[in-house]
Amino acid sequence: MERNLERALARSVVRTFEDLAFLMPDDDLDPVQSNAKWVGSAEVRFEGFFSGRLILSIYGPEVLASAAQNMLGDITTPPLEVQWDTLKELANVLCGNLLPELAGREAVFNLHPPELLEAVMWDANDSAAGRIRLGLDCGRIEAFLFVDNESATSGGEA
Amino acid sequence: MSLNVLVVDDSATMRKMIIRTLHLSGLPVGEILEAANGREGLLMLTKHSVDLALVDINMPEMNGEEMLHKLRSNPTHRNLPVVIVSTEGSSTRINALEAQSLVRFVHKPFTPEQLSRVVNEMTGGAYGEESGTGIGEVSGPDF
Repeated sequence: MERNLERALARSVVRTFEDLAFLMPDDDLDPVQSNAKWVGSAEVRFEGFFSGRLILSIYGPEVLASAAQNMLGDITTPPLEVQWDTLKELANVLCGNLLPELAGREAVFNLHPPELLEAVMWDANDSAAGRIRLGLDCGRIEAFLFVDNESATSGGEA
Repeated sequence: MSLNVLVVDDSATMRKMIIRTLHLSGLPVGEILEAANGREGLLMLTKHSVDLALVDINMPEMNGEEMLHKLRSNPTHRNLPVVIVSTEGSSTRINALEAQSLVRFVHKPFTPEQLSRVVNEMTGGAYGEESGTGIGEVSGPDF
């Protein structure tokens, strides 16, 4: 179950970054990507068929700058404020892509507006229902899915 | 005939992407207005005349569904074509939205061609391609 969920999470991350930011994440991380420093995280909370939250974290400043630049079609690197907004929108689209894949297209969810997290404040290894790490440029992406009632996902498609 | 458009999305990044897509769509875009939530969007409509609204669903203060409800209860805007632009993936909710008159849904991210097709379907082709900038000629990136 967890492996299926993580496969769905990885597919959704790849699709989101390819479609929205024209970047291609890879699950084969090199040492530079593995050691890249945390830049920021955005969280999307949701309720509905099941409830929980999704967190998207970016490691390596070039990753977020490239995503923002590509999304906006800008020649220069967008200011930090715009990059944070980009991170929130990536998390929002990721959550929108992921939930139907887990619960089926008829399931209804209410997504809250995405919020930036001040720091890495969770113990992902203990409590995340699913976690993935993908390499990208000189950094990496990590995504975590936390489900309030994990049994709710067992009836889904994952 | 130019198309005046209201773009309602709480993400400034997404509004910029939508506007870029509009310009790539081949539609005869005129004035473009921006609002960060449904309440701001309704306020804009009291001050400006628009031909089309592109509205996100998940927004703070007033979401897109509530904005749409208030829009339709106002006789002035009852017939304004509205395209819901959202990450929404539930067919149940999408079908309910599209069951309303002059409401269509496009999933983020979307292409200029998808946007153009939806707008022309809603308006009976009233805003066909601008001469010399046909949809088939658009070579910009998808959004």
